Amino acid sequence: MMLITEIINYKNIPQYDVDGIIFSYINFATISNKHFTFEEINEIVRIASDNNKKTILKVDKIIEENEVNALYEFLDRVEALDIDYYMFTDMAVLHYFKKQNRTEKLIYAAKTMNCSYNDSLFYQELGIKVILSNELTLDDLKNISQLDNIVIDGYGYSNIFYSKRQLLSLFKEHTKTDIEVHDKLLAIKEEKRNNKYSIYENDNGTFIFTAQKYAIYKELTALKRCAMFKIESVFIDEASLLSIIAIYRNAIDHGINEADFEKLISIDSNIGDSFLYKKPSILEGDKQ
Amino acid sequence: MKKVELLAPAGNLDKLKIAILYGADAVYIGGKKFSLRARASNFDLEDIKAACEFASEHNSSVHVTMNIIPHDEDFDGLVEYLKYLESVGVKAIITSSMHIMKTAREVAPKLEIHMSTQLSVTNSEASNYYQSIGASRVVLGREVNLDQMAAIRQKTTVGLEAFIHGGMCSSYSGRCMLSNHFVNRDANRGGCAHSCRWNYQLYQDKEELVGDTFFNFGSKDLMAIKAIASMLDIGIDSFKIEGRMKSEYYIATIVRCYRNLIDDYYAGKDIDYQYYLQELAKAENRDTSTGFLFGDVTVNEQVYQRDEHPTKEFVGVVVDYDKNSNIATVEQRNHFRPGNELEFFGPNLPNTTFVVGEIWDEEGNSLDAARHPKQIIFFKVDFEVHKNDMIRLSRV
Repeated sequence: MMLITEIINYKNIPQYDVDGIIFSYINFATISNKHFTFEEINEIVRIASDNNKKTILKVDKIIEENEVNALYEFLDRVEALDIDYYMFTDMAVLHYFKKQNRTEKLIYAAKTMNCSYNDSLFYQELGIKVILSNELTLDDLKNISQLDNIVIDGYGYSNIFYSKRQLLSLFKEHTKTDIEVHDKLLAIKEEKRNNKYSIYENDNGTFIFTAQKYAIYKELTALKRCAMFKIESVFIDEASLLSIIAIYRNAIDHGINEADFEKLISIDSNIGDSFLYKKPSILEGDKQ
Repeated sequence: MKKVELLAPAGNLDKLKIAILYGADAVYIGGKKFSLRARASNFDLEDIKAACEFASEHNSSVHVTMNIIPHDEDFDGLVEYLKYLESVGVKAIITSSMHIMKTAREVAPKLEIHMSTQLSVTNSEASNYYQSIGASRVVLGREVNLDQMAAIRQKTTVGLEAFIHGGMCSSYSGRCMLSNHFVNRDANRGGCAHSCRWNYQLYQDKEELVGDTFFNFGSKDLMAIKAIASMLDIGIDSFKIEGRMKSEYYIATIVRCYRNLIDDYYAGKDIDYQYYLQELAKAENRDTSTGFLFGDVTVNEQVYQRDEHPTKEFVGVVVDYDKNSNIATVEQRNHFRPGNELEFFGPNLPNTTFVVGEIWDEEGNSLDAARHPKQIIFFKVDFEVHKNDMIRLSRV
């Protein structure tokens, strides 16, 4: 199982004890702690190669028609850098690589859409890896990860809402307030509930994240067949991220242990198991 | 000239018949399996067969939604279901699952494959990809504006379906898990709790922002009346109305409006937008906007306060009409009384007003008001009305 994460400072790549590093370019990626310029991406690929790490470019934005040409020109440019994988959600990216018979470089990252063995099998037959939904049970994950192309997004805040709309800026305009909302980490709390959910608006849209970090740890043994284990780094500072990486590095290489689990909790106790042990219902009385 | 398909929703067989009678070229329905809108009273297998028969008799067609994001256990019976749909004459399935699509191509090749809006297709290359793997149509994401639609049309031959009316997600479709995390209901399997319409407090760190004002981020419903001519010029293949959970009155009103507007356009008539807007308003109980059609959304496309305003204008449906006695048999829906001015409308009946006189029940008793939903009542109407014509309150 490869351990992968999205980097924050590319100069620190040697300190990232992972097998693959993820990085993004602002125009075609949703949300990251840090986006990089083309020149920086060039440098990232060089440093990663020197440090024997796979490179994964995140191009996970939903692409509008007027962006397609620029996307394809960008992919032409970065392909020359010999990037190992592309993390995508829009089929325009898949179509680009399909036309070049290089779909094996792809990781399908529209997680909410990836909930079954059969749908994941479709992508496996194209050589494409699939990041599974964070709303699945452990039994679901175990069953689907019998395939060879499965990526588990196993630690971090999960994106649970992606809108094209500039929802915070529109609200600011509606309320005629002078608060800063764009490119600011804010939180929302539903009036009758206690949890706060991070919300972030950037030029690519508005994103809401889970109240707790999703943390698969003790379940790692059952999921060892997965091709990749991803640590989601958004909203995590780099020092904590490197500590978290060390814990998962040890778990993957040497197995899980209670002391490391305690360390994981000590870094941030606001972790949860999402739906690993409870399946979301459809509607009472409407089960299919 | 290839004419656009007007595609209407139906939550049950009665609504399907209304949609077709009022002008839908095709109707989309959900079966008991594989379909979102868990609360819609979806069709069982016999209903689907009856729907296809009715549609066929009226030169219409049936599309079946299989648009859940399936989990492993949801695939049970898939092959048999697809074969059944094909055997009873379903024209197309609407799906977001690659496995369902692939299986349909293998076991039920006569079924057209339409890629669901759950996939948020917003560009020509994604459209072309789906076409390359067997889709005959993609349902465009509701984030696509008219200029983008035109550009997509220029670069793909796959059928393009676009929403023209009804509810809109605030997120990209399929990319919202709020219901899962707030109320443990799976949005992508029909359990959406419309959490985007709830009230939220907005915080920066521990500080609550904007005082007592709630942060809301729901979307107004879509109403594309003013974009229809452009969408016809662009060459969109199918205009889709959202709302499998809506009432028969809503479906009749909305379908009839768009049917007439489209027909006006093809006939080269000047389109009276004011008339159509007024007509739609008679059935629409939520605030509407043009969504992304004319560009990025503004505050005018967002809901910042409760926008539902239930209408009671709909008062009954004609069940029968006796031309000799001029007596209409009506199934009541909402309160009205003698002296009220009613407006009749139907597939072949323009809006026609009439002041109702004496009303009788089935025992011949004279009523001071029609106040019991579903009650069969009788009153005289001095022009010919037809079964399934609708009646609404014109003026009290």
